[in-house]
Amino acid sequence: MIKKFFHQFASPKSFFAIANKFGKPVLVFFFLLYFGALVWGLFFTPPDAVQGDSYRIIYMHVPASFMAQILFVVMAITSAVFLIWKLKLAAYVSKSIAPIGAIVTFFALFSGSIWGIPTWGTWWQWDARITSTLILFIMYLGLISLHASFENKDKADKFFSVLVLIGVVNIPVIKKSVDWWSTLHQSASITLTSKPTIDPVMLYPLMFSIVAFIGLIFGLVILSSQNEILKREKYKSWVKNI
Amino acid sequence: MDRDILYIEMYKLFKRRRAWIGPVLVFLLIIISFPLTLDINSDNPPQIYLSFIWISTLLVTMLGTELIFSDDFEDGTLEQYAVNDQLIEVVFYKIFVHWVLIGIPLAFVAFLFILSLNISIQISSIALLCLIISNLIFINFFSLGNALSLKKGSILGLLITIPFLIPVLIVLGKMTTSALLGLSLVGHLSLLVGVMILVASFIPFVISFILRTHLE
Amino acid sequence: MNQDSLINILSMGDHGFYVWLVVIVLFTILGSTIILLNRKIRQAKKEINEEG
Repeated sequence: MIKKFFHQFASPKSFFAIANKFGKPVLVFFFLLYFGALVWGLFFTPPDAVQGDSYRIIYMHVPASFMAQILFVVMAITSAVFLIWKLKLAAYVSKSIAPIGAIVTFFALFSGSIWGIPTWGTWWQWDARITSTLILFIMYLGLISLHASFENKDKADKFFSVLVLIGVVNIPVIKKSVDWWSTLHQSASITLTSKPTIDPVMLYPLMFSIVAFIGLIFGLVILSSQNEILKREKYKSWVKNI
Repeated sequence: MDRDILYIEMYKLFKRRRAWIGPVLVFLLIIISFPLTLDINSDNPPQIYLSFIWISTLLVTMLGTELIFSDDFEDGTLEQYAVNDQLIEVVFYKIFVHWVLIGIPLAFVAFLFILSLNISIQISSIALLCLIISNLIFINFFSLGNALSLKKGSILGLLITIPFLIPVLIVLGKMTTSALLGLSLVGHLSLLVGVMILVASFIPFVISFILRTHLE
Repeated sequence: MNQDSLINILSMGDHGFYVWLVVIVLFTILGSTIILLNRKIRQAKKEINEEG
């Protein structure tokens, strides 16, 4: 039953057909939705009592840092599917998540450090979250360069998936240990966690922007998977008919 | 378990003198250049030296394991082992041999350096123990990196493995602070030993999977 | 709404610069990724059609 499902719907061909039909509308929809969430967050919410207007970066920073981690987990799931069921499509999706994840993680770091200038007075703090996000960013880049370094892409897929799985086991360990490490620097602990609980007026647009951002990024992943499928299945016969 | 493979691997690495004396000499040179760039007579906190030791052993073990699989891969020895279904054993023994001939000597050189800084003998011997344990973890992960980046150069291997070693470095850093404060280290040490056992028994299987994929 | 209050909203007080910087970077990144991927897909399709 599961096998049948995989063979019918999870072949690169049918995925491409579905993505070709619905990919762009979905992307445009979530793009507009996210735009709306931003307009709501930027112009129709009151300024924060402590941080003033600079807190509005939250509507971009929080979704990005959330997705930075979620994308790695999704990549691990597709990699596991690839290694267990030898499903090519899963490997393609996995591989095309990596650059998107790197971009999102970079943006999370960037927006965080810009946010730091007005609120903390410094653009970088060696705090636990920032450090582990930076490590995550380097891991994405390592995965990309691992995949790029092999001529034989079938092998590259396998190595990539193995490394993603080791990585996903390690990420909680890294996060925990970095948390543990950062207690060394108790004097400099201006973290986001110590912030008072957020007001509903700001929470609703924030949740709205997170949801829209998730959709937007998955739209990007679909687009990037389409690109990967075309690149890898160039010489298959079904590609001729699109 | 075929004891012969262990002897063969030991002999092969031992005969290639540059492969195991080289890293130790490089480590020595790095250690010599450290006091030269930092005024050693001033009252520097010992953490600086210890942190320097952790990071330079990390890098030198990487250098030492750079060729761990590539020679055997090129001349077909690994394929022979794979056919005989002995790949796992070879990986285990190779890591063990590299640990004995590169990891442990490095730890002793570092120990001598720490002693030379007038750091007490207790702390130095704890550092020695930590280095011996952590070098096995480093060598395991770097072998993984080298198996992944076979013939692609060690930069790629470093890039993909150092993130996994950050927790170990953090434990070492924590141990340094506690040791200098005179706190008990039993918890940290058992954590490190636990990680070592976990890593040393799990990573070789991953490596042999990777090598088998290379050989396909 | 007159012009002054519009400017007031858009400038977002003292820290408006930072917010706008992040907005601009975000949309540059997103936009260029989408455009790049679209162009690559179109190019790949064209190549395949020319070969076939």
